[in-house]
Amino acid sequence: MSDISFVPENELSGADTLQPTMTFEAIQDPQTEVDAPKLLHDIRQIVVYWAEHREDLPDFFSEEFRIDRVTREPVFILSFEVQTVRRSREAYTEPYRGGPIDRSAWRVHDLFQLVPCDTCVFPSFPTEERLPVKGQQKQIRCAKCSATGLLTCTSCGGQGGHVCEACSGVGHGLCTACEGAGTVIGRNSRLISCINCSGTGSSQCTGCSGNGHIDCQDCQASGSISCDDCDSTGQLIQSWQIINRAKTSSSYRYLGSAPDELLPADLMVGAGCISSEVVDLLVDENWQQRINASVPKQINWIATEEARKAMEVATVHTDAHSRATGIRMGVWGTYLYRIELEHLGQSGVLYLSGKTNSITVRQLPARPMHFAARFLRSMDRFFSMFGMGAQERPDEAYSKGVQENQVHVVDRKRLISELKSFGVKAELIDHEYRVYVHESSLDNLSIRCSLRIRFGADRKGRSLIITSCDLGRASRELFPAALEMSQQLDFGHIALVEDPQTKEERFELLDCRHYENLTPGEYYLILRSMSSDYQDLVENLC
Amino acid sequence: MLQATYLFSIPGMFQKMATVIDALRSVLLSSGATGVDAVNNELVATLRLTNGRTQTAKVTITRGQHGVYHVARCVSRACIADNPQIVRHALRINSKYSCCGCVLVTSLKPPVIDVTANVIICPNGDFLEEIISSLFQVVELADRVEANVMKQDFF
Repeated sequence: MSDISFVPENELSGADTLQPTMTFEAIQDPQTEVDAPKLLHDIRQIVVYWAEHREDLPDFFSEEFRIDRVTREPVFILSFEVQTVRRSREAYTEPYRGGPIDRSAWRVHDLFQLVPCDTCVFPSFPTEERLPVKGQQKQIRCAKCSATGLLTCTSCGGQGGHVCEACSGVGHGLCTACEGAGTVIGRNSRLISCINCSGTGSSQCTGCSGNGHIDCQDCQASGSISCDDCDSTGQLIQSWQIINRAKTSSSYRYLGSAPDELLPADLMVGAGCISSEVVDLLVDENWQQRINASVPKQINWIATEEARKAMEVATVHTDAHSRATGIRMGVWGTYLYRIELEHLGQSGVLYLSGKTNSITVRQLPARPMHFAARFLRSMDRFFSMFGMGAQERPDEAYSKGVQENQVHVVDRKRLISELKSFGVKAELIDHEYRVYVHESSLDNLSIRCSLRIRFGADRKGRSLIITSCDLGRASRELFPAALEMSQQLDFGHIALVEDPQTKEERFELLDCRHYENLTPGEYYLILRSMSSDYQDLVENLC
Repeated sequence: MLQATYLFSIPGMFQKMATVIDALRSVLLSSGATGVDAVNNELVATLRLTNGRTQTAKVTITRGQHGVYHVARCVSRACIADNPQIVRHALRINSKYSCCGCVLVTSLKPPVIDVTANVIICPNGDFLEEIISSLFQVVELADRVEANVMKQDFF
């Protein structure tokens, strides 16, 4: 299997146009060649970003590679997940401290009915939990302590203490000063009586203070300890619990054709869900009909067949205590882009799919092996680090910003981030920037308007930066006035757009210009100008 | 590349605007414009399109309304706006992601639809390439609007 890498965060690229919302009808779409500048531009940016995080590519790949051909085809994946649960019953005891005892008999003995089962959790990893069962409790004597609540102390064997090892139980030993002689040699070399032992030659044992034995610390010299099973109550209450082990079996299958080297499970990453059905198998016996009803007729037989297979696989090792409790079917769709590229005469093929823009490598361009060529290219890289090369690598702040979902993948100059130095607040939301322009001198830092910033490409593949803000609902009588007001604007035009959700027509102030030559200072002036015009436009058009 | 610094840093801005226009004029003449006429801060050029037709456009440099910048306004006439459908069509064209868009000029009788593109001119900015690019886009869009909507050349 070829290796797969992902652009780090979900949907961070902002290249949302690569994956439009799919429906079942798209299953009939053939493989098509991609020639739309915006799509090619987005694909290039994603590949550039991806290439910068790999070390197995030729030097300067991200700057020098060329996209030869891009094709797109819809890919549909049918997924089935079956949750199986294995249950067993087990008695357990707890100390009985008084209180009611639920001795009621169980109405059923089926382990799946005794305690409700979470039929459709579909855990990612096998889980085990213990579920208490009500009823059939009983009080029993604690066998461990014979209902006394006490156990013989294991440290002292019930003696309450032990013989002092230092004095062997006699309570005294040889005097340490005279070593048992009772006399010591005095100053004038005469024997004198030992003052330490008063001439007896023995002294009290310091280990046992002369008692000859030491009290047991564990039982406080009582010889017994409390029973930990019954917590000294002598009585236990026996209850029942169910040990519930759940796991999920998954299977995937392509609907239609797809490249052999791509596993369906891999393409599932970031694919959009077109249809899903979850069935509680303990309740619903007509699960096959429900699954069939949730997919178009053309794939009914596939869904049925796959569901049957998935169920067989999941229940092959089940017994009386195991059941398949839930089944989940999903139809997933993604557009799969096959990118044929070229770098210094070496060709490569990549696949791009899913809203996470995951790239799967089919073939990487080979590294140039000629030593002289590699040396010269290394020199190029060295010079480019000092700004003397023809092309410079993107800065780390850009890469970090993209990873942290702060910078749009197309915004390689970090143009929008740079606007912060002008007091412009910008955030990346749903593939586009939202920018709030303040007019500190005029409005005392009040927010004047919120502008949307998106990226596109013209027919020559050059990056476009598109700035817009909503002006309100468009009325037919104001069409001429709106178009006439466009003439007075420094930047942007008034456009008539259709709200994709409500289908109502709205006026929008829209500015579109080339991204590459634009500086943060210029763009700030444009945003400020649009923000200032916004107030007048809203007053006149709404 | 000509820098906008000329416009801002030296007294006699009007004179320097003419310098920008002069630079634009020479670039356009070398890029195959069939006719270029420049007066003060305005330039009128007739450009040949890829389809063989010609279209005339005007570039005017004016002071910005909301800050210290200038705007190079590229304008090319598209058609007369003699029915509401054309106005609506022009507003829809503006929703396409293009550097230029349509405006309605009511000071003329009958009113006309112009295609415009505005390029910002700031100190130390590279704007000449952008003006040329916008100029060609303006005439191309104006020609398309003219061909699609009116099928006649009123310019």
